[in-house]
Amino acid sequence: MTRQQLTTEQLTKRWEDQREIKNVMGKYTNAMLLEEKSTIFSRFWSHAQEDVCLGLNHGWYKGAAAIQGYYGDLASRTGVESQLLQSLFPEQLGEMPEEKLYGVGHMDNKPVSSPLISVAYDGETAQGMWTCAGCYTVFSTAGPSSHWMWGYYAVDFIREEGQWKIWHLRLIADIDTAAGRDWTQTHEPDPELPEFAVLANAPVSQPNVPCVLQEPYHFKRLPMTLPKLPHPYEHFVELESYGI
Amino acid sequence: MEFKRLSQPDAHVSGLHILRHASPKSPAIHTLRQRIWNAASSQQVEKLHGIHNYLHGKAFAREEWSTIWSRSDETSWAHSFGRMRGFEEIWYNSVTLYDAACYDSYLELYDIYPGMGGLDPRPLMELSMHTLVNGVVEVAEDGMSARTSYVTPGILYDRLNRDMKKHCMNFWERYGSDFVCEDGTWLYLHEHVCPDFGMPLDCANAAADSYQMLAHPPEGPRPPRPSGRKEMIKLAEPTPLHQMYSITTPVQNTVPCPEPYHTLDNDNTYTPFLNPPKK
Repeated sequence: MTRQQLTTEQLTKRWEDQREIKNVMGKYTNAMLLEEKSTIFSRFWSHAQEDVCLGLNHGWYKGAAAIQGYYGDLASRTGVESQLLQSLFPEQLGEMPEEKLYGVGHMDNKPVSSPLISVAYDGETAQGMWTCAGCYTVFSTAGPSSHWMWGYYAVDFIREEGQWKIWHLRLIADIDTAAGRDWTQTHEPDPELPEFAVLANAPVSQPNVPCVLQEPYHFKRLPMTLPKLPHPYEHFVELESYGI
Repeated sequence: MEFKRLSQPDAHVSGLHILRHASPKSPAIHTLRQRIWNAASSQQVEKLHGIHNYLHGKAFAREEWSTIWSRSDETSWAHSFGRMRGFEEIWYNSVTLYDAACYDSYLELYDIYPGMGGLDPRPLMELSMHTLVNGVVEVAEDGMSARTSYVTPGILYDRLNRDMKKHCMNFWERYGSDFVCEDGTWLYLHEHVCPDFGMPLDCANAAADSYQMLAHPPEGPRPPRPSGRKEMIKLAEPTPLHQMYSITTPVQNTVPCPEPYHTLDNDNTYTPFLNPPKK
């Protein structure tokens, strides 16, 4: 199958699919920015596929329960962090209602750019890759810190009930570093701050398939490899999935 | 006041009265032609965003505002400090005063950099590099408007600011924009710019610095802020609309991602209409 063999209707549909996929990813990252993590799985992920998986640098969350658990833990931790900030800054945050307080001080902004999308000729699946030049706020026992995160998304999509859903997603950080520092140098850990000690009791679940998908940059690291870029295809079985 | 539109034939626009020549029929009909029109329109508004970015990056205000913006009374441009309404107000603030700042900068710089003589003073004031990422684009079912949201990670750079110092900072914003099709031409109608954070390049940590400033405020009077450009003296809505990031800033959804919609109205807009379109 080639593009020349497609009807005008089919070509139009493929364009619409690409636009919708771009919109899905834009809304996904925007939902993370808006601290709507507890709703991410239900809104954006496939519910029909059993082999859904989320890949980060340190391993895979394989299956719906693991992925939901990860987003749920992130959401719970955000609540703990918000209440901690309220206790530390009563003058600014003391009267703030809980709904508005949730997510205060957070900036989890990992947008997608440079889209490369291939929709299957059968119209049922798609693959996409995007670069990500992002930033996020880390709250740890050393206090708050802004981080730069530069890397990529690699995503398999599947059409369910007329909508595009995330099936497999990798978010790989090539550079992950605290802002304001030379990321080619190693740095001593920041000193612990006793007022943030409570965060040690709010862990986020670790991948249920731990592995090193990619080391973030350090000057002794071997060059990073990329998964195969999206390319034209007819059926998903022909492809190397971006999942596990 | 007459505003000469560059590179475009004069088009009479009153409010949102649209003359339809090459546009699909309304109410929305999901024909193949309608779908192709919407697809092409989606590309066109992305292109308008790109044109804005290039022209704004070079401080070419006249070229931008006279070519890709509607002259409607409903035209608006909003930032954290408030909202401008109507093309005349926007032109005064965004072209007249902006150009004035560029010429002020030139008068301060030419003694130090005599080689800039003869060059267009405007790009010499500041580089405002606003990239476009995370785009969500929806074209109305009636094919006559479009809405977009973007994240814009950027850099601001002054060779010399008004305090005679080099100045470079990361500057990240979000955009919410509405577009209209007038006489078959796509134009900006509303833009809402939401600056999220700005910090000196390579030497600051927004969260850590904000925490330290609040938890351990420095003693003594605060140093004076670097002087800025002339204050905008005409602002229809001088109300803060978005806060910059700090450790106590709540989550803000000032410019939500657009959803599929039928037509541009007060239920689907980044700026409430002065005269809402009749349903």
